Amino acid sequence: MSSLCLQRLQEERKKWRKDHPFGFFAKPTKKVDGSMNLQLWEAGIPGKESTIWHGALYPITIEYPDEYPSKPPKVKFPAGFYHPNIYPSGTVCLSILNEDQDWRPAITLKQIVLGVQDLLDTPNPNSPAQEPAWRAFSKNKSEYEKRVLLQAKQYAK
Amino acid sequence: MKKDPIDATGTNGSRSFNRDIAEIPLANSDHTIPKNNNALRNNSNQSNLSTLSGKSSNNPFRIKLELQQPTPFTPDNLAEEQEEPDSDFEIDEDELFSDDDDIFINNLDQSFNDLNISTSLNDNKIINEGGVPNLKYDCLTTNELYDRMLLRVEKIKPILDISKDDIILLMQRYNWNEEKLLESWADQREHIIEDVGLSSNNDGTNKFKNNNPFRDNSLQSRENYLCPICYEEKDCTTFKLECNHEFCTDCYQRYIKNKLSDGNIITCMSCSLALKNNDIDIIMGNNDSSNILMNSSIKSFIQKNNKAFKWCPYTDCQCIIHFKDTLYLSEFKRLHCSPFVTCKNSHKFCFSCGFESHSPADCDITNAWVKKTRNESDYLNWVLSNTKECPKCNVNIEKNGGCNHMKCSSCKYEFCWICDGPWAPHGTSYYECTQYKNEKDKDKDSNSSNDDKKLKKFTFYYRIFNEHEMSAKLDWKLGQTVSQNVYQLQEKLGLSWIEGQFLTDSLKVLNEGRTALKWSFAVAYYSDQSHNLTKIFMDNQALLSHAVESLSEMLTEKNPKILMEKKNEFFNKTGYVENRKHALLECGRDLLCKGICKPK
Repeated sequence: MSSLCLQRLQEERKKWRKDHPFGFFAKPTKKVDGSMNLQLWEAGIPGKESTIWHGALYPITIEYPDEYPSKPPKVKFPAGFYHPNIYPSGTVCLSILNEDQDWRPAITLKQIVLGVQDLLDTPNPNSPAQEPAWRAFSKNKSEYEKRVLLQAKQYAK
Repeated sequence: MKKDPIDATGTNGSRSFNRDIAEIPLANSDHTIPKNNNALRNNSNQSNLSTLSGKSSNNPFRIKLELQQPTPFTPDNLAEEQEEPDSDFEIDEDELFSDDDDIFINNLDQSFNDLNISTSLNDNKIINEGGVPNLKYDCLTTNELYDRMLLRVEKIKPILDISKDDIILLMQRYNWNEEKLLESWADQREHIIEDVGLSSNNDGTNKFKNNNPFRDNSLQSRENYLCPICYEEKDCTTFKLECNHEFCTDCYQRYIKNKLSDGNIITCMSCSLALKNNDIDIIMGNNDSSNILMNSSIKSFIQKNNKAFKWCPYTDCQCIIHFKDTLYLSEFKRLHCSPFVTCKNSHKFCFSCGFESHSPADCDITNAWVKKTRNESDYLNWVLSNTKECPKCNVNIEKNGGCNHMKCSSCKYEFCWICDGPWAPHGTSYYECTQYKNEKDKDKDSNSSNDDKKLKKFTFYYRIFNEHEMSAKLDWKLGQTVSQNVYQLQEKLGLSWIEGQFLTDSLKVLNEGRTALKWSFAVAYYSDQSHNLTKIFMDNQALLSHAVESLSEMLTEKNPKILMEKKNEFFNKTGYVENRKHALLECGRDLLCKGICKPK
């Protein structure tokens, strides 16, 4: 791991502990030997109030590459997560997490998790990442909402 | 002359083009006399063709065709006929190029012509007979292409009325397609400005139009500055754009370095405001960085326009071939001919399939052959091995140069590398071993299945193909000896450089002959073996093979004095190889055109 990556991640952690949005959590994982792995984080994204996603805390992992902050981290939900813009593997398809699109080195952890929370209730049907959720979202809204509510129950706080 | 349908191509555009081509044979038989006069003016073509007429089939009509075709298609000729220079580009552009990219490329041509910087490398030795169009192409490097783009930027500058750096950004965003850019600029200018990052959301578009011509984007020295990227508190220089997002140059440099090879617009590290070339160079502290970025941008432009632009496939060669008129390409395919282009470093390759010069095979045959060899080469690995046992004493022999005439160093047995037979019959009669013989006479094989025979046949051709490929590689080594010889001629015999050139020329001819020979085996493999023309083709192969081998042997001579004495012999042999090669290529194309050779 480069020192730049490490230093920046330490700072991200400091800033997160000082101040982070309500309802979220984020912490670096532990390595086998018990030490902190700053390049792999676990975080929880609460569904926004008055949306069908409300009432649950959705778990994600954030993986920082060695080239961070030149390159964006990879954000993953559990595999098979039901959402039009999340790949079957769980990887999130979001422009601010794409190096060729809107990723900027200045984007912070806070901005990332807020971006992911935003994505939950405002999916982008123009860049589908999985078929079932996308098809339901664009063709059969009631089926879509049913599945999302079911999933919310699964991850209920 | 004016009734000549070909003349119409120059001015009437493409719609009549295909029809005209189809009419050529008819027109020729009708207007033989005037067109012959026309053809006779072109002396170089004639001498070239007279050799061809001798060895191709003895059909007089065919020879006539050969004499007539080349002239109408030469670019000079087209230019002569064209009174108004731009007419062929503008008349029915929309019908010509439905694709936007093509329109753009067309315009590119136009501006190149306007600027008179054509570096056309047309190869005059292209087989012109049979209505094969002449090739029109440029060989460029990315830098030259970029320079041309800059000229175009200068051209549209008065229209857009913004700075050069800004236009370069716009061009990058629009893949150097100025048509699209100008169109969008007219429709949704403000949107573009934001999209490209010439102005940020917060600033509003009004600020963009040079309210502040001196951008506040220079380096600043700061003490104890905490950069929000690396979180290092230190004395450093920082950089910021109008958006006031300030970062240390260390971070900026790392960030830019990472992005240079993508060729995309590089933005501020926090928002979408674009860094211009000038900004990039300021941050990086040199002038190369923006050049690297432009280079990458041009590269991605070439990848996207791969119909008209192709990289030279040779290792480390930086040349780009820009094909002027992609409409011709389909014509090549129809005539079973391939558009071979030569780059500035004299690498010859096929513009359609990117392979080396593969005539007499066309692209389909080449493709089929290459695929087949790939599939079966694992099975035939033993064929590839470089060593062979002496047929007499079984000593392992590695062939590391020279022709196929082998002499075992242990038992002094002389044999042919390809067929393992004794050399004596090869030296006097024609080269027997280039012909595949069905092994009917061998009793032991009579029971073997059809598949087995097919494989045997393939193995045979594959082996010869490989032998020639190996030989070609060894010829390359021979080339180094030859250049040494040329040098020696100058040193020892006090000859001028030009007088030694016949050796280099011979080597070139040898290489070309070898390549043609090699690919002719792919053609032979896919040809109907029972057809008479195939037999003629094989005879032609044998003749060329014989010629190539003897030339190769001559070139191994090291003594400069003997070399000079043999100068005339070299001329004769080289000419002979050249002629045999043309004969073989013509014969091969005949096989393809008549459908006797088909990729299975």
